[in-house]
Amino acid sequence: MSKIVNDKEVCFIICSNDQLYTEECLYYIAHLHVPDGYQINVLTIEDARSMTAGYNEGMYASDAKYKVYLHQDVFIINRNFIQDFLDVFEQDKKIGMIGMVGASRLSTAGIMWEGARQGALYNWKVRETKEVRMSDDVLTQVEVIDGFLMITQYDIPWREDLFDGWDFYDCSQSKEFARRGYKVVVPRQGKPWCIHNSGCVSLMNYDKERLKFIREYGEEIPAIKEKNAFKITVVLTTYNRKIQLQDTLEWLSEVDGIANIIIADNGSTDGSADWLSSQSYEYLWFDEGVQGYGKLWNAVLENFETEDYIVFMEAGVYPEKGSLLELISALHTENAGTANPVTNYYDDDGSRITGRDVLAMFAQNSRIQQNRKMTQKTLFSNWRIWAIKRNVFNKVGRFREELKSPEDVLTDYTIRMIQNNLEQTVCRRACAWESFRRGEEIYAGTELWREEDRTFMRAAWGMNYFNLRPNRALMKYIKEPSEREFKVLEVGCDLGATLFEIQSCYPNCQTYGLDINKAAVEIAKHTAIVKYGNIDELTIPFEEKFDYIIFGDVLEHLRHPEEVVRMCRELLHENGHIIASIPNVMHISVMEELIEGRFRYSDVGLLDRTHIHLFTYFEIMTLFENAGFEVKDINGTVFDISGRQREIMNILLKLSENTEAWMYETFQYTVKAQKR
Amino acid sequence: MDAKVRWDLILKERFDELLLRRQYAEIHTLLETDTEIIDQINDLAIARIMLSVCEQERAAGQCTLFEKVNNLDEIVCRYTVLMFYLRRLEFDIMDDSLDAFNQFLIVNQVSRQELFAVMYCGNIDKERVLQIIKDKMINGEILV
Repeated sequence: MSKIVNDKEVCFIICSNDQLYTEECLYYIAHLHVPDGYQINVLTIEDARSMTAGYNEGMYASDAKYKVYLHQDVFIINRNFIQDFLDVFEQDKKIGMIGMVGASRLSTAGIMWEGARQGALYNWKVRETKEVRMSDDVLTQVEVIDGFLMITQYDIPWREDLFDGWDFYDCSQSKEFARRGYKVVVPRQGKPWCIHNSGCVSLMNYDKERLKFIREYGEEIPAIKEKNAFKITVVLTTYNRKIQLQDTLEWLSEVDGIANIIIADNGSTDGSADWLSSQSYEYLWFDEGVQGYGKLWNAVLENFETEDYIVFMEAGVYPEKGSLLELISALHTENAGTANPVTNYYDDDGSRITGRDVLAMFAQNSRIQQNRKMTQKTLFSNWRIWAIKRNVFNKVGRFREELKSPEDVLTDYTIRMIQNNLEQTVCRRACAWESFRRGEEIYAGTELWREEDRTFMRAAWGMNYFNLRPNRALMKYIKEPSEREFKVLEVGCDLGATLFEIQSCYPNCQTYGLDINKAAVEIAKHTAIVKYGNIDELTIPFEEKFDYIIFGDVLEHLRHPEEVVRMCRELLHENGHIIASIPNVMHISVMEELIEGRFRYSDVGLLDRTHIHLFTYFEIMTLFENAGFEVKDINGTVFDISGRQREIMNILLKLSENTEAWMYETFQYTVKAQKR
Repeated sequence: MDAKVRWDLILKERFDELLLRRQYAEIHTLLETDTEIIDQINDLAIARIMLSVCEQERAAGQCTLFEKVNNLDEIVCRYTVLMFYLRRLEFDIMDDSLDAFNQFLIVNQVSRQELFAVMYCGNIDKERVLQIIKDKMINGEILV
């Protein structure tokens, strides 16, 4: 028997387990304006066994047409809340449910916060409360809404048969409304209608519930449907690694999304070719001997049909089951060019995959970590496994066949992509394990290849070195809320790798670079606002003031380091910082040479022949002190030292009371100094 | 995941033990050694905010917040109730709870440092709220 619905009643339904919060929530409800002719009612469900069970209990107990399901830590501050939501329902009878925040599109993992969100709220966290506005302030139809406050005008049972915890009841209810043909919307709010204490979210059972959600509604989630429709071509390169090749192929048979595998055998002589000829794989074997990767990869593209997405990888790399689909989902934006997974040799945040047996667990944890950016822009690419959109070749062209080592082929290609405003990303939801030993010669080429490539790259780009790795040791000193607007200048920015990643981590950060290498400036211009200039001339071509100025291995190259640092006081905002890395000339390897009467310069390293000033710990402290800065943090990079070096160090330590072991062990210092 | 839960509880228990023994230097070490972990645990994140309040109170020669409470729950409760009252003021729905707020401040010896810290965390308009307090508080009994 259907119950009689009171269409002039609003019922607030709260699952409560904290009296203090519940009373405060009710206090705000009691202050709402109730439109003429309407009445309100409140049901608090004490100690419900799950959110769905509690909400069902409330729903069945109330005959109100309009029900507001809210958390006890939500405080409605819009006094006209009731009239405002009634107006929304009045606009369109097909609107079934309203939320304050929603996602217009769930991610492929079914996670709400990964995609574009709609709506607004005052977000109360322990340390800060701020107005969060996620979109233009218009009524928007969304795929799902956030469960902190949900308003309905029709009763649809909550799926307590499926969700017995505190997660995904909101996404599920959104999908239940959609199944019945109702719209789920986020209204125009003006000022946010609610404060929500989001605190620190517990994700203890999140993934278990997420998997239930995907099992039940996966076919109704557009991103997942689209992802599952993608087809991938894997180009598997190998050279004299027959066992690994066989093992990798067996592994790939379990990996999702692969339409075809093309094996590029770079002239193996270990019987791989014979074995391959007896298999059904498409393969390419160079009988004229080992080829450079530029030629090898191009030959695959020229001789085989490929899908829209291509993953280039080496035999001996093991991608997790769902990771190739995740990887190519990072290529869906217009500017996306290539993407890398996280691997044990290519980790962007210190995470480690210790073996292929832990891959699935690692991938699962990676996918549910709320605070990580799921994709991050980068200039550096891992040639052992990377993905590309096929249409990138139309814009950028093929690989340069003059280049042989895969590192250089990909470096060259990355620069060309940047010039075409295409981006390269690390996709943290995609994981792979590399079976290679450190230092193992993976491809057939020798050091000769790198030497030949260097000559070609110098001629092509006018540069000797291509630093595509960001300086994360310096980036760690930037501690800002992710949405904050601030400005960073990097002096000696080279190709802009560090600025590029800073900008990726802090979308509202404006990044500026300065370099004396005109060729590097031309490339870096595509990643930040970069100009040519020599800071040693005590002038810079920017009018702006900055929050951070970075000197990554630069101060030791200057004729006037102290004057330059002093000048930075004028370029920094109040409380602005200099962040710098500086090599330590007191390192035990230098002392070891000195006591043998040697002080040999080299092309790179501590005694780079272009170093004009040399620094120790005390000299660094003095430099910043004299220039009007206070060193707030200083750390060192330490490498293992030999037994003889330790012996020398122990003798030296006995000669001075002012020195300590770490002063000899530190290879390079990183410093954060604040303007006084 | 289970390990994380136990870790939270261990840290909270450790905090309470140290507070009971009035070992404030050790509390400082507990809260400041690995701030990323501490800030992921709501109650301890609040205690960490209050640590700096205590330092300000100590510098001003006042009795510190940690000396006024018996456990972490009390610290969290003070923070929460203060935030609730301040928000009611901010959104002008204080009604007749102003006296109760006044009593809360007096009974719990809430210092201006503690009050300001909560205002800061709540992004509460300090000048406006202080003005309301001054205008409405009877006999100027508020400690600020």
